[in-house]
Amino acid sequence: MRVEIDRVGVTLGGREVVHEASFVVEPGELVGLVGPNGSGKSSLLRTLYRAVRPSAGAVRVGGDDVLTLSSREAARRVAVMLQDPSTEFDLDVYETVLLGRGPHHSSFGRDTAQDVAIVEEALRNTEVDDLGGRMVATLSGGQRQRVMLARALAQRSPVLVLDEPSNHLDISHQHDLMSTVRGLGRTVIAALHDLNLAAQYCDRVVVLAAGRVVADGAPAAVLTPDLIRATFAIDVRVLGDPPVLAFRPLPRAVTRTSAPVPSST
Amino acid sequence: MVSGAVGSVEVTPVQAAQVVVGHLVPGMPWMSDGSLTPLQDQAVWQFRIPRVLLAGLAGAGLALAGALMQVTVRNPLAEPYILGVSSGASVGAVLVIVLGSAAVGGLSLNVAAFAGALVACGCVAALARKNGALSPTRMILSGVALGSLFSAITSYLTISTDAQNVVSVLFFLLGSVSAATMPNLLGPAIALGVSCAVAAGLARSLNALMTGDESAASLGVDATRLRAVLLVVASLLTGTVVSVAGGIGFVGLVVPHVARICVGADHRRTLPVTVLGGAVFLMAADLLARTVAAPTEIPLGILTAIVGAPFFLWLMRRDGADRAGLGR
Repeated sequence: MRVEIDRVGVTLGGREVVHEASFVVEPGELVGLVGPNGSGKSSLLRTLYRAVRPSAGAVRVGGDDVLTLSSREAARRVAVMLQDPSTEFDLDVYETVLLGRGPHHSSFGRDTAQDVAIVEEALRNTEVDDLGGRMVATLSGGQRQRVMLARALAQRSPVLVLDEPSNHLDISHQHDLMSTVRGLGRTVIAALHDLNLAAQYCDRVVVLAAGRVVADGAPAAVLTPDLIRATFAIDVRVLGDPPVLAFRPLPRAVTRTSAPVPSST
Repeated sequence: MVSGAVGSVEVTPVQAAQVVVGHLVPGMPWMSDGSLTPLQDQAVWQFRIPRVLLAGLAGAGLALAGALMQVTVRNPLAEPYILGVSSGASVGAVLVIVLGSAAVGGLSLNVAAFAGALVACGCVAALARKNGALSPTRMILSGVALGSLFSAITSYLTISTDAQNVVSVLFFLLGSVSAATMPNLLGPAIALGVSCAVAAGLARSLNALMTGDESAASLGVDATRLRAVLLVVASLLTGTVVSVAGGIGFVGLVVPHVARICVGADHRRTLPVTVLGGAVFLMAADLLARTVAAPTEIPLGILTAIVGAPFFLWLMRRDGADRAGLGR
């Protein structure tokens, strides 16, 4: 399903955090959204699942503005792997993943055998099937993150949004997650901090800086040392084949706001 | 039946059952053959049964309202009175007791209490609104602040009135089902029926809301709209119960937690257990309230706390409490 971010602006507390952001995600594409802290990645993603209303522009999923869809239809099209669920009243892992089936049911709908099969498959795909009866609050950050992925998978939506999906995961689970997501064949938009992970798994990378899209293209074309230095204020060299980004902090005197764009690498 | 049998007029449980069946099914032989005295019949059908039914309805209603409020504001300390419903109702009721019905436009105590409850809720909802959304934190804080304001008014009215009125005021504040009659069961019965139906339809959405507003949005649940619906349902239900039975405490806070400890936090299981548990708990408490110190009656609100608090604390300390999120 095609996702279209069309000149989207987001204003929070009177401050514009996203300004005229535009890009398109074609069906089946895995697009990485990268940018420094506070660049507006999460705010932009929130407009996709209607947690935030854009102050300008439109977000279209499958051709329809998400704001014109019913809440439930929107959730059938877009599933989200969120950072951390609230656990004041705690559900166990199985019940949490079962929440993903909610958008497919009417008010009094009961769980079907198909729901159970989908939930069990999602638990297996994310390797949390042995945690079924554990309360979510008792899990480690990484386990919890995999449960949240399982919940999003159980939603069986054509579009998947991931907000910092790998920040609590160990290295092998980071790669498991990215290749699982890659192998789904769904349209995926993921906000990522790890540029190497983005370079390795994404079809395209969109770079956000101070709320604006500053680059959009294939990872190799976009994640150049020049752009990284200008956007993230860090020195970087590209090593080896396949290429790997090696980072080194800039000298203290060079602040983030005045990071120079060097002439060569 | 046991409740129907216990009291100053002697009736056996079997006789109590005969009275109930006799009133519901016409033509039962024992109603006319003299095996029951008119006094027994009257004690059971006109006093004890309405009272038991009111206890059941009030318990179920308060417990359900408590469960709904807890998920609405996503806070385990929430209870039906957190939005100032009971303190608003108290002002209405105390105005009638202290100044007389004529002073408040001829409203009866029940109606005045209900009006007070709605005024309080309306104020809280209006104060907690910002950009069209109800914020849980603002709901709690404005409820607590307005509650204090209303309590102050109630206290002032109570302290400035004649001594004989004070007992009536206290009886209302602590809650009692002793004034139950068949007609005034109607309000709570309808409110409970409607609320149960609405809650059953929303159970899945409540589970989603429990995991946070943003998470709910991603699951196709509009948290703002759901919260508004829950606020209306819980307030009307609480207002109806309080206007008839007064401010019975503890049921709405604790019964939902006990239900979660027993069956987990999935509302599709929690809500039915909460409703039944609330009804049974309050019926039992009322039975104790009128027997422990017989012939004197203990106000129901005192008994629910005395019996309920130790029981709840014991349950909370057990391992199973982890299921209710009480393990931390």
